Amino acid sequence: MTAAARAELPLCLVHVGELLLLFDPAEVRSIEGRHIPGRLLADQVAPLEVDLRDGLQVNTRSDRPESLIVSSPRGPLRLVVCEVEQLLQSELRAVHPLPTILRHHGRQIGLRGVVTVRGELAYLSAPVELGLALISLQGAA
Amino acid sequence: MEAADAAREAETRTQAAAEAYQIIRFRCGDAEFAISIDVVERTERVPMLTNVPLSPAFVCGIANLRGSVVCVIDLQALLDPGSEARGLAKAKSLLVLRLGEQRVGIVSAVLPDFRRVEAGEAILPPRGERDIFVGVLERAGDLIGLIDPNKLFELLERRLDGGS
Repeated sequence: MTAAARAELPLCLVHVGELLLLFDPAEVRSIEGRHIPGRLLADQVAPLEVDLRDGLQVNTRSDRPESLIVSSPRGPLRLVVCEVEQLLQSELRAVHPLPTILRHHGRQIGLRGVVTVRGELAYLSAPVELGLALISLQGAA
Repeated sequence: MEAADAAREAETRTQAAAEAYQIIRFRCGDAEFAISIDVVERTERVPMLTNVPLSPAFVCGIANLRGSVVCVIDLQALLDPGSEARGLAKAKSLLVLRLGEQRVGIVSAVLPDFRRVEAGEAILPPRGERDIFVGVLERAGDLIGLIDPNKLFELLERRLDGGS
């Protein structure tokens, strides 16, 4: 995909409880819409499921979760979230780095920066790093 | 403690004892603190905060302050990891500290109060591994911990990097 074509792709604005995450569409394989636990992918592969609502310990959660698929070195991951919506690049406001004292913490869970979206702060996130970090944390718990 | 740290601490204390200086006083939880006005970038009302996922309890969130994003903390919860982080619920004000490239916001339960500290007024704090104080001030029977900004940021870095 050319850079120009990629720049026109809408970003994935992901709601997880009260948190807003922004994923680069180039890092998302597909958006499934309504989450159906255990559903096989088109190639009959069962992805590892990571519920971001549990993993990120949010205070509120949707009763009708949605999911999206990303490709990871451990195979496909299904990330379960409250809602996925598409966001135009033009809706993005300033992009900020994470505060210096949070950079190590952010790197550990795939948070790359902060953006202002519709007056709120959203985390520019790496979905694969986030998913794998949560699997690792769940395994360690 | 390494020799360089000890030397820096001794130097800081000597300076603190030898010269009068301005501090800003604030309260977090049950404790009163003070810090040199030189590292206070500004004070303002507590803005809307966004949670930081999976962060320690002392991290209240991040805020966009006039176009830059700052991490906001509860100082008492930082100093006493066993305590419940309640500073945000009682917060009336925010102090934004800057040390070099690093910035942090600290919630305060009172509006910050400026004052001058005379040479020799601060007494040495008791030694301790978690100590971030360069001195202790006494005012009307209350003890006020005078924070060493370098040690505060070092402690934050250790806690946020997964250290003790």
